[in-house]
Amino acid sequence: MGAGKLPLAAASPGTGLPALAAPGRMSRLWARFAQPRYVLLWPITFILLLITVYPFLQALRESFYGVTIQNYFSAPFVGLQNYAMALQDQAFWASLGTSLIYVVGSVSVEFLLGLGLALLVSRPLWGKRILITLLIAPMLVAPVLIGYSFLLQLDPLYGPVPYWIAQYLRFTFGGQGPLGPAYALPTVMAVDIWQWTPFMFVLLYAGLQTQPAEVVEAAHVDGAGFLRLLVQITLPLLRPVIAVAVLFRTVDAFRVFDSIHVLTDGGPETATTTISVFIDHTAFLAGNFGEAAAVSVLLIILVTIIARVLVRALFGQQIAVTR
Amino acid sequence: MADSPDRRVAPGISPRPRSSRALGRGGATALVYATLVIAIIGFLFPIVVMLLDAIKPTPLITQTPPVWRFVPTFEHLHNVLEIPSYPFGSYFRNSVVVAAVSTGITLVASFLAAYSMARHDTGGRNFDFWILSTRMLPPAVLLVPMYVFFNTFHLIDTVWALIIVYMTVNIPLCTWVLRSFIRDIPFELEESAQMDGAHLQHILLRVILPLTAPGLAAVAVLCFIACWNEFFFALIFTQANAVTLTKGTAAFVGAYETEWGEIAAATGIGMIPPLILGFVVQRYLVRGLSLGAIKG
Repeated sequence: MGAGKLPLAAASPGTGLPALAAPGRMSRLWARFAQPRYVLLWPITFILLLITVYPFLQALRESFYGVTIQNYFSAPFVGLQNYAMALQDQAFWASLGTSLIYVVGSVSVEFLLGLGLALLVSRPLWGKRILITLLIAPMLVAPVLIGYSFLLQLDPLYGPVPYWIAQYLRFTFGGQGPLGPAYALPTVMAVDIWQWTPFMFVLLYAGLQTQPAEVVEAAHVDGAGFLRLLVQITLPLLRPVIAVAVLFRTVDAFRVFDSIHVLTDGGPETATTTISVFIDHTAFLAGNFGEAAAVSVLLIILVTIIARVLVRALFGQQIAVTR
Repeated sequence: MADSPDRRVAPGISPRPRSSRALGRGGATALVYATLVIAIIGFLFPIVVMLLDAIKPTPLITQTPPVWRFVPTFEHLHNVLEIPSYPFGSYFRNSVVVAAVSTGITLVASFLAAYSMARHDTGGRNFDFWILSTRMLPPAVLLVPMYVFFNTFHLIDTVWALIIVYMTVNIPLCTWVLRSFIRDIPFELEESAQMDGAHLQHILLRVILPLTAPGLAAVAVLCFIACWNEFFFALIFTQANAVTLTKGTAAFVGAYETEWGEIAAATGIGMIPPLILGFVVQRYLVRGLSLGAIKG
């Protein structure tokens, strides 16, 4: 991490740095970060440092202290105990497994559906603006609110969805309803897919719009079939956008909370307790902020590793070739 | 585009040489529409079922099988819009202010940074992951420290707390997406502008901005929606003055009884602003100023 550069780049706008232009290293650093290309980074660096550094450090600090509801401001130092507790906790590993299933399952389906829709809509079509607006509709309803509505729609006794499925597909969810122990996780994932496929769609569609038309056209004229065009031209050109879309859905799916909290709150039993729900329960139900913070730190490390692998796999040589 | 040199096609031949496939162009288009219609029905169905409750008489809402034919009632809309004890207008205004301001600042800041990172590799390989990591913390961990933080600056129950929090969630997405788009713009375009003596701000505004328009349009919609729909921070960080529409709507969910009709009515009205934004912004999503058009 550019530890040496970041703080200065961030501090400069606030502190009016000319005063700091002491001779030597500082002024050289200042000269460097006053270059226009670094000045462009100041706003986001400033905003992100201002707001996230404190919570980050606080979470990191809490993970080494025995913080509970009662002693929030005077917690004892416990070293690595919180981490040990988390790593020995069956529930932690179970929630991690649930999260992995959730993330891999939902994100891959969302990607395939989103890509398919983006390819379809990029064809010359009549009424495209209306089609796009309708396709992003699921994102327009707050996850919490549609979550409550789904609760009503999926209710095993009163809900229309189980009723129709039983009526027309002759499937009764083993008498438990779609949110019963065996079906809760797939149902929660289906809701995620329903709500976030449009996210993939929007990004991939925007990506397709900036593809150089003449390349695609030329391949088309050369007689490349649909599949060859897709695999050899479209997808490679789209790779940076695919990488970002998949990356952000993955990061978001790991910390998804709203919809699960409303639909099942991790239940029945622990069927839908993803890592984010586990952290919430550890902090606010069990009152163990220390362990929750430790799990969060572990989660950030894990997601960062996954993100780096994803970026390397998807961006490929792109990053190296930037300049 | 169509006039790209192709030695195997004699000049004068229609630029659509593949129109005589087994499934004619009309058939293929019909198939595309059919698929899209199925997808849209799947996407819209739960929303329609939900929104119908907004005009359904209360006793019919929880009936199974659902009742499709009923005399519409405006009771729920009235309860949402016209009852003084439920300040819908204020919720709505707060949501608009929070989402618009937060999205605006996010877009400008991210666009500048994305340009710098895409073109000059500023920050290197770790800066971008640091940005990304600010989106990784689960809300449960952020709540307490952020509350303490905002409380120190007396920002709790103001729109600013939410505007700032939502920026941290949206900046990573915008920066990464825009960087991807800017990287795709051929460097020669910028170079030739530079030769013509254009300053950095001209290059950013006249060359990069129009070419990144689809990306900007996409993230603008995604950011606005993310702000508009966020619930948990709004729940904790606002009490009376800065309550947003999502929190205000969720107030109809009771421990014992839930006012489904009112939720549906408020949700339905709440969908309108992002819907309008999506519709307006779309003209930038459609291939207008593609690279091809400019390079010509």
